[in-house]
Amino acid sequence: MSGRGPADKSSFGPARIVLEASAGHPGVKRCTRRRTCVDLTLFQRGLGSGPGQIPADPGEKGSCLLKRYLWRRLGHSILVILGVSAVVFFVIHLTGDPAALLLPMDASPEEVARFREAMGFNDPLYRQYWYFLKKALRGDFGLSLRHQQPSLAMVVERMPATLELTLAALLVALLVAIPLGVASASRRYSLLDNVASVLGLLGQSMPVYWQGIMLILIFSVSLRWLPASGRGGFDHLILPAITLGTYSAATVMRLLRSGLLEILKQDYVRTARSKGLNERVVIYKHALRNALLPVLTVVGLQFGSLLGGAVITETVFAWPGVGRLIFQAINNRDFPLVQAAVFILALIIVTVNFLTDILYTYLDPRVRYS
Amino acid sequence: MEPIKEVVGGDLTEVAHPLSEQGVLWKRGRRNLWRNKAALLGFVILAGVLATALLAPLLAPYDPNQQALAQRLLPPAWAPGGKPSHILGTDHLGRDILSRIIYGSRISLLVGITTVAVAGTLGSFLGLLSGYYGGWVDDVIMRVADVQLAFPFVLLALAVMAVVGPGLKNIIVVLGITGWVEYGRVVRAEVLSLRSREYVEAAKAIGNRDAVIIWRHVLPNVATSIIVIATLQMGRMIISESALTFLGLGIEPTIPTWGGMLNDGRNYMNNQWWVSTFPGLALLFTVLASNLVGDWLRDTLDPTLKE
Repeated sequence: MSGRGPADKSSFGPARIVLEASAGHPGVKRCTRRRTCVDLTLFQRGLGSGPGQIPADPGEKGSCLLKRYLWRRLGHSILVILGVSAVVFFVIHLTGDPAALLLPMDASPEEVARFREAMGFNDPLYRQYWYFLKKALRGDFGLSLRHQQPSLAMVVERMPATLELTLAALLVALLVAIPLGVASASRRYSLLDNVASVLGLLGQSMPVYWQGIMLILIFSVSLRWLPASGRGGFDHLILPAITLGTYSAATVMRLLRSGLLEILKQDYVRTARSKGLNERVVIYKHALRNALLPVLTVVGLQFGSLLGGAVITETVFAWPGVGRLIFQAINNRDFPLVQAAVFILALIIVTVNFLTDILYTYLDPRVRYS
Repeated sequence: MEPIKEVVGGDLTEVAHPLSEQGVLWKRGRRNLWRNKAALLGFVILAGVLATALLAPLLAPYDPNQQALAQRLLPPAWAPGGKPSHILGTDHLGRDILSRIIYGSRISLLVGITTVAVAGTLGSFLGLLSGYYGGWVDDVIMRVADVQLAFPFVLLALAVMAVVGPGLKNIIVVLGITGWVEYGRVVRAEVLSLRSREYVEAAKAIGNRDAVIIWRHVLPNVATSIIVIATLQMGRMIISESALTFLGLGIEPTIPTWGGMLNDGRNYMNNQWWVSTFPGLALLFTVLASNLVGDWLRDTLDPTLKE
């Protein structure tokens, strides 16, 4: 069955066609033998083209499903962003009176009432949220109460520092986790495996900020090898990146190890070994590729954790990123700035998750067809 | 009421409750525990922390808030300048570090257990509803979960704590509410498979209400997963509380906490390393123990949770 085009009678060759009606799509059937999409009406008529035709080429079918999947994920991401905007908006209404939250503690009741009127806090909540959303989509989160500068501009100014730290931490995590995970899985029950398991557990149990303090004590205070704080050259990045990346390294290492152990038991790996392939080829060419797929998803999710963890790491190391900006804004009760920063970070996380899904779909064709 | 056997129309043992399987898992787990040294160590450490927390007034040599400025920043007893009366040294206000670590264990365990209880209850409830009823209920709950997952945990907790203010009650509520998603998703996935089982169908067929079916037949079968997640999450909650307190948004400074001690010690790192080191070690071992026990529970009772 060539499956070239819907109008081609020869498409209905000798292959056994199993038809399965889908409740919502009576005209769409699936051929399980040759993976050919065939319109039932076509089949009943025997030939000819018809409306609502799905391409019979498996590649085109995969492309259809992929597009549908991506649109669905995009719609889902947009819904999540709307939800994020709602959370960011409602956080400052948690106490009931955002005006009291945004003004200094010694503001008089008249000042609070005037401020409430000016900011529209007397309007119904849904109208306030609508105005907030319209302004947020234009990038207007108001002025920072302390700095009297546009909040979004301040966040954007600090974003490169946070992204630099986050990406460095991710790189540290992968550089440590992948070799250690592979070595640990390929030498199970060895000393290396036991040490890696212990390190993995320790890495997941250690508080980030305590680790940062200990690294500063050892490498900055005692040994004086590396600077303790601030942003500058590569040496300034080392300690914060290690601090932030440790938890992710431990998580990825443990995941990769357990994934590889499962894959190394599979039949195709046994086949590769029985063919006489070198163990390195078996692991790196056959096993690791499959083990890295779930790791990719976790790495995408870890990006969000790293952005959140950056708040603490940046505070410990006085790294001038968005995390430290949020911390200072919270201490200064500068909530327009907090809103802008939290919203932007959440937006980045949703985008990264979406891109991770796309990449995963590209790498694992089973996702497209599921 | 007709006997269930006649309604189902078959041998009742075929629809036997899988709770018996869980009983087997627990028995096997208890036997395996003695062979798993790591898990045993975890249990011993956790038991030690619990005992320390309960017996704090008896174990602590000093009042944790008792200040003695003449004794401020004393090093540990074994270091030059240290005194045997303050084994782990003192902080910048002359407070005994050992006593504060002992009393700090109370807060850590209290927060760890209560936040897990709040998150577990809320998450399990929503997961049960979502999985059992499906449809729009499932959609709404899972979309809320997705929105919450878009925020880094610490960021969301920080933003809320900044608004509601620091305090023990606030932190328990905030961490509990931000931690429900893990339970919700896992319980939902399990309920989706359980709701079509024969014993659930049988319970429906004899006219049981949904609440009774969920409480008596579905919930006991997801309890194992909930327990595993709770144990694994306890360590993370303890770390989160200490992180928020470290940032000044957690527990009030008048209550001795490990996170607060770390925050205090940050300003004295140059010469007084002990102020930050010992509370951090206490945190590390407690969380490590919780993770060891959680790993053992997961491997024994519900290996699918690894995925």
